[in-house]
Amino acid sequence: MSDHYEFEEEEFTTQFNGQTIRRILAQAMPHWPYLVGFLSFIALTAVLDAFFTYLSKQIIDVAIVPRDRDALTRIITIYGSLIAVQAGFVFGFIYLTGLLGEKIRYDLRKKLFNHLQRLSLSYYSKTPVGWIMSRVTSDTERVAELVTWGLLDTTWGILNISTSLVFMAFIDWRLALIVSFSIPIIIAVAFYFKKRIIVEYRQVRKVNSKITGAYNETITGVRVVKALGREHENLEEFKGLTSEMYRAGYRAAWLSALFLPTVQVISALSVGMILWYSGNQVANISIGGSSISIGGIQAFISYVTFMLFPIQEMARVYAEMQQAIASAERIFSLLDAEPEIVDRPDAVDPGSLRGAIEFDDVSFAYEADSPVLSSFNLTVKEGETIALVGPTGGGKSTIVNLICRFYEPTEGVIRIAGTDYTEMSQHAIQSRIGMVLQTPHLFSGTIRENLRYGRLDATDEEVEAAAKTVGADEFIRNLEHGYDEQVGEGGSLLSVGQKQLISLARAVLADPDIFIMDEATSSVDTLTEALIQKGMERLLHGRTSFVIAHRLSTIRNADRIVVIENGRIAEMGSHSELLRQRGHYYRLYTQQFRRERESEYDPFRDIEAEPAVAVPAAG
Amino acid sequence: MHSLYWPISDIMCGVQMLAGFLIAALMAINGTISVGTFVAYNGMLQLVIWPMRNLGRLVVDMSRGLVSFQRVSGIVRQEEEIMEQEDGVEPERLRGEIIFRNVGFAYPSDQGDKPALEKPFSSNGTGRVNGAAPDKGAGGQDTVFAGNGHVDGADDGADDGHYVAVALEDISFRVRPGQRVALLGATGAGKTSLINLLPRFYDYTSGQILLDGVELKNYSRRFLRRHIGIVEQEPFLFSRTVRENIVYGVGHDVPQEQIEAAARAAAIHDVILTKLPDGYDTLVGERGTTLSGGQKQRVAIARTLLKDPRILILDDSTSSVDTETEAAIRQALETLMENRTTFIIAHRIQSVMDADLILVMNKGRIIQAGKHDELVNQDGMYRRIFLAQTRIEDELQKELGSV
Repeated sequence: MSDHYEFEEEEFTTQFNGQTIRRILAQAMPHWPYLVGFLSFIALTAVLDAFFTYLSKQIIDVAIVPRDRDALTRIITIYGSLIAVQAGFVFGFIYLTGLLGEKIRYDLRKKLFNHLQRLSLSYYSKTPVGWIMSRVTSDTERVAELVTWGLLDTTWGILNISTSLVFMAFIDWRLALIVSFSIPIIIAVAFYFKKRIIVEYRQVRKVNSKITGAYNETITGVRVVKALGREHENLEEFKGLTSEMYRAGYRAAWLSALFLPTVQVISALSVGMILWYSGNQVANISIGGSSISIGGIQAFISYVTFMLFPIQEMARVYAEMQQAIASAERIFSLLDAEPEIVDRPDAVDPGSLRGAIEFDDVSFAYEADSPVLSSFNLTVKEGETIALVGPTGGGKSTIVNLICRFYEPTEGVIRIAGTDYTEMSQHAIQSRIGMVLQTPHLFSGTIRENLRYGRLDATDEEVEAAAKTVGADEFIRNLEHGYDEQVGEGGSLLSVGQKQLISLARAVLADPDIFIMDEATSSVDTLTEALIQKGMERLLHGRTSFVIAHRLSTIRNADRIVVIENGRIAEMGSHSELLRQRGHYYRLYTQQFRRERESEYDPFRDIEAEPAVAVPAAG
Repeated sequence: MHSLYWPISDIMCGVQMLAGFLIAALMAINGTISVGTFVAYNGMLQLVIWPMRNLGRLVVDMSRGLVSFQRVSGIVRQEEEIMEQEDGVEPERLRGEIIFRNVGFAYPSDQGDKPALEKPFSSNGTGRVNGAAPDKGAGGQDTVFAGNGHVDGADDGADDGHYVAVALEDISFRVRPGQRVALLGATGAGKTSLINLLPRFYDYTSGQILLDGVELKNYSRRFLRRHIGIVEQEPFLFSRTVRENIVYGVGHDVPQEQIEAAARAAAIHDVILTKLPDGYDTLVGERGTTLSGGQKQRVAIARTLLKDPRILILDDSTSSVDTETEAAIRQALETLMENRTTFIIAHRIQSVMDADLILVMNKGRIIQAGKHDELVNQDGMYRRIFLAQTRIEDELQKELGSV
């Protein structure tokens, strides 16, 4: 996880951008009743807050000073009932804000999810999964926070300050004027500090993710570290990181410590001014000057003191806003990414993919100037089985990706039954190709649901018939819940061989025109292996098929073997033709032959099969 | 819950404040206190109530902090490995003669109690390349040497879930300086446990190991590890540049020519220059370019060449590398093994045939020892492996002849 954190923390220099802010606010617009609702509640809460201070003043001026018990009871009753009312408002705005936040998160996630499904495979090969994941999780979170709590704190702050000012002006307009001069100063100072503090904290987080990385690496690589005696140097490097963290943390703490006193001194100055001015006034009452009551002074002091909270909150929102805007920009950049492979407006669905498949001078590169396939020519007759063999990275999977049109050729044409396949719709192609991956991916859910992925309208009988066809029925029935057994996330509760069987059954159900199989390199137990072979034969029969083959039997049974090396066809022909050539295929075949037999004849297997003098695992 | 907590605590604070106000106001009206006292009291009331509201949260934080503290100190209290020892022997030059005398070893039984610390040793970062994914036994010591299992993993399944309490028993053999010892045996036979004793990752529990005639325990761990090089089959590379990975462990600055010489000898220099985007400055590992198994192994060979150890430990179970790469790696390994006492963990007979001593292991014991020529003529496991190999070759020839 630590790596994309770093990726994420790096970009915080994004400046305010009116367009982005408008686009962020647009996220809340569909839910405007909630927005209006929580804004009104927060407004009422702020007004009441200011009014409470006013009531405290009244207690002194109307009740205590004239010694009026009735007035006291009256004011306290009003006070008490308003507290209850305010509690209702507080509940209202917290509830509505939470709700609005959820709605925005829901919208954003749905939009992102939908968009991610539409994007081409090439987007995923270029973009790290972690990056996408943090867009979907933490960035949506941050945007929702900004639109809800950020907006709430700002509204509350502004209203709190302005209603306070109104009440102050009502009590004594001259004093209110003094206060309103000090407010901008406090705000400016608060914003300045918060911004710097957040930069330091971000630095702390950035170093922290490096520290996590260092821990992670040293622990996972502990054997190498010990074997190479690197403990001392590693400690030195780590010291560097922690002292970097210490310095950033120290600066943040220093600024935080300085922040409150500074703001307090400024507000104390204005309180002092109020006291000095009004004290004179009160003293002058006897001379007949305009009067400010003791309660009034008390109220002013309260107003000024409590104004610090909204200002701080607003400063915090302001500082965090930058990051939230950066998050929003990344989300929007993801939403704005266009799928690379787009159907032509006049794309057709030919109704079938039966017919010859022709690679005509096809070249392909995932990244410019590192071609994976160059001038590739191959014509596959309908119903033919092609075994693709060759070293890893030679281009076998690329050929498969091109057939499925996960990517399109950078040069040249692929024709299916004589038609350039870019004239067809992606759906027309992809829905008629069955594919079994090396390590098939299953979706969490039951086995039945996973099988039905092959054809969504298949009946239970058809699903089970398909499983029988590939010989998966037996192992499924032996599971505790049979077809309704959960497969776990990604099918983690099943073995690779079992996943392949399910994947094969899925392909049988889909009855595709073209079948593609990527054989597993890791061994599967003998019984499952035999079942897979049988299931495969059923699918290959009479169907145009491409098999990235590792098993000798599969290779031998193919109609044609194509040896791919460095993006070109190195050799092509039948098994015996190629063996006689004593070239690439001969080498690959003999190597594979030895490997397969070695694990078959391994004498250690016999020993291991006998129960050793072993104690069952304790944990 | 969130939307209820704040209003409720607001009401509670409000009621308290109001009650305070009321009493104080009454006292002020009665003249018990002055108006000034009332004003001061009001201010203080607020100062008292708001922090009280935060107290609840504080208690929760405190208990959480205490738990974390106990965990941290649990790690700190773990015994450290002693790297230096005062009476440690540190000869100028090691010859590399190794004698095992009735060596026995059992993994400490209390390891189940501190899995948090033992785990990293077993998983080793390279992930589980073999089929035997779950940690074996208590703490998974069997998999200490990553990649010890062969990649095809077909025959790994049998000993899953078993833990051989006694890892090694009665191991005796002698290696002369510069000789090659090959360890042959199934996964879990004790090959890894045996080589783990040499750099003192673990200390043997009985018998004697002599290095140049001196008991192994008399050498400090730091000294031993400086003179023992390990090349794993799927070596762990750090998220650093290729250059840093090669000089990792040398402990001082190394000129570029020397790095390149080592890389050349390890047959990786050309790959670095032509295949990697930034040459020697390419970031590899978790956050950088992914190298293939064979490439990683050659980087590790270069790393070990630079370190120039007297004793070498090689994990030579052939992985699924391509034929050409295999030849390159074999050549690089030959260079590396020159003039060093070498231990090879092997699974195939080809890589052990020219060893000076072959140890066939099973269940923590040596069941056969000797040179290829001797072992092949004895009835036993080695002969069976050898015959299987010949049988494969025969079958292959027959099959090739039939086309």
